[in-house]
Amino acid sequence: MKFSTLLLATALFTAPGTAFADGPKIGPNGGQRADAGPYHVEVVLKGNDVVLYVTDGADKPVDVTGAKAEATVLANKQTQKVALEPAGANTLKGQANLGGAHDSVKVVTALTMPGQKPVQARFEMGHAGH
Amino acid sequence: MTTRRLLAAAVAAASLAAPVASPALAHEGHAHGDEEPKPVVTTAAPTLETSSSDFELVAVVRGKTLLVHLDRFVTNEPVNGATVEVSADGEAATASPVSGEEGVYRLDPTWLSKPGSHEVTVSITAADAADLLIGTLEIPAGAAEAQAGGAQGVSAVFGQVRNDSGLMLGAVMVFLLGVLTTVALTQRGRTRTVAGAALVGIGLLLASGAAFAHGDEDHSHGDEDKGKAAAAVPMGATGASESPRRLPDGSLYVPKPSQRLLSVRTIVAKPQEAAQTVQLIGQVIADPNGGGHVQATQSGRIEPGDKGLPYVGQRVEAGQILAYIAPAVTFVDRSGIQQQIATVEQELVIAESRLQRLRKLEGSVPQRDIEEAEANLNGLRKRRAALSPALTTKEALRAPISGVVTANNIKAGQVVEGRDQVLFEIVDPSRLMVEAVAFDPRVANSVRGATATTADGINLTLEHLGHGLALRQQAIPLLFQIDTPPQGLSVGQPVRIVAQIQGTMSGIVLPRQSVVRGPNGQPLVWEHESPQRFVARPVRTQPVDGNTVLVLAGVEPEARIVTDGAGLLNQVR
Repeated sequence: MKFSTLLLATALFTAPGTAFADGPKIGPNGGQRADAGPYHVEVVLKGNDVVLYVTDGADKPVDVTGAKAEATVLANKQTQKVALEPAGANTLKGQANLGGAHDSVKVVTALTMPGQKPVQARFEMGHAGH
Repeated sequence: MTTRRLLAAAVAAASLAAPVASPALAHEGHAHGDEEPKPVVTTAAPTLETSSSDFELVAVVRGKTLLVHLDRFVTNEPVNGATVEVSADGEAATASPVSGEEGVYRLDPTWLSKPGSHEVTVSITAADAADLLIGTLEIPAGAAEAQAGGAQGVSAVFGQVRNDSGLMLGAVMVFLLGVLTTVALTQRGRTRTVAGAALVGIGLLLASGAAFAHGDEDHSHGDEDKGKAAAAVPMGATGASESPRRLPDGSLYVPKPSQRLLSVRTIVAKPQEAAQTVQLIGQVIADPNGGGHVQATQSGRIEPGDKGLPYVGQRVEAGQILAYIAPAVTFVDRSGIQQQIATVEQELVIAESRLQRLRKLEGSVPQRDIEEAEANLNGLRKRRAALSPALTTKEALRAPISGVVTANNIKAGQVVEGRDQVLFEIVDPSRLMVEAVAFDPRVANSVRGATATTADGINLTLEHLGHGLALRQQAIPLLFQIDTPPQGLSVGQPVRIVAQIQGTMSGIVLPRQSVVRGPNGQPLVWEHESPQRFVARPVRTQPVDGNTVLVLAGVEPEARIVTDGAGLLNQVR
């Protein structure tokens, strides 16, 4: 048990080094995608709508019934908090006051899946390539 | 016995690894894809490190207080006067600046006392930029005590060791070994009592027990180090002081307060084109039009001028009288002159009386005789006038240019020879030049501009005036004009010249102070890899001018390279 534990520990310490791979990139819905805990989340800004798509690590849509999410949006130097409600399938939606401009808007989402701890993700709009 | 001991120690170490490993499992599993490409350096106090393209933030838990260090991402300058709002667990609070410290904000949120991981969002509004940053702050159970003492961890370790069956197994094995050894010895018939055997066995057991205790500590640390190194997350042991230190992989862990103290600043590496350069050695010389010598035209005795003799360093104006020379007239010369004067005066008396006589007879003597006598008298008077000051007139030594006296080779009353002896040297400090020698004719022909650095670090901008066509000791003399020479430059001072020649090279331009020497003498720069971590990058460089170098290899574009404080960072052990 002891040696195997040691080995396991070593393996576990080493594993995450290789796990980090995906940086911010464009998701299937045209928005920026980032990692949030075990999920991939994608944020799309449409007018004043903030839409959050949730997929799992393999980019399979995740049912978000019962999930909660909150987006903190920084636009025009103003920070606002937007509650996102499940809107069918793997999307959560909310309304923010963005003033039309989506450039240099920064969004932080906190997603709480049912029975889990909240996980955060950060997005910088207009810096897609980064 | 040594192998046994090692084995037992390893067993016990493994038993320790178990509790270390399980939280690691929980943490790493949760951290899947957490958008953090950089390793997190764990410290004694729970720490949150996060950064964006504008800001770099380090939040450290101190008891019930969260200290937020906020810096510019690019320059590592502390950000003052920003509004920092920290929210976690649905609780948002604005941090207040810590007075007397730059870019440090504090707040006392209630969630800080709750163990577990907290998802933290920090909203920053500075004068010129606003940003949202996220991060996870892990508050370990009993964090308060751990911070207070740090001894809690050690006692827990001992408790675990005592309760662990691995240790007992090892102890029993060593005890058996001892008994076996004793039995073997007894069978040779050299010992007599079974009590002796028991004693040896017990002694061995005690000894091995002590060995365990010691071995446990070492190995547990070893395990920790191994685990962290494997994840490229070296960390200090619990309770380690918050001081800069070199990590096992050679990188540096420098906490934010230390960075502030060392005033560490960075720039972002950008590839650029820079002119090719060569290094030359030269020295400062005086401009021929901006330097003067004062020499005597005849031998004589020095007499101070109206303001005394000029001293070295005195500023003099063009035409100012520096000294007089009373001509040295030898005894023979003097008597010769006096003789001449006497002769002239004698003739003068005769000529005067003759003229008077002729004037009385005017009309009866030819006018020509009178005019002749007048001319004779005038000539004699002029001769007398010319002769008389020869013994008393002094020669004034005047400053040929305005400048500063740089050499004074005489004292009052000194007798100087004419010509060769330089009495005063005057240099105009606003007109200095640099003379260098180049051994490569191609360099001499292609020099465009240059900068020079003196031994004490003064940088000079040079303008290339030209080069000599005659070789001087196999080298070509090059002449440069110094643009607005700074104070304190002296003639003859050696300078190192970086001359730009034709052709360009591409690389990353960094200030000279960024490049420091590694322990093996290799030039290296420090990259600011994550908020509190610096990594040495060996580089190949070429000077651009006195202040900057061109890094040809070793630095990736967009890396943040330490400029100020690199030398101090380099000394962290």
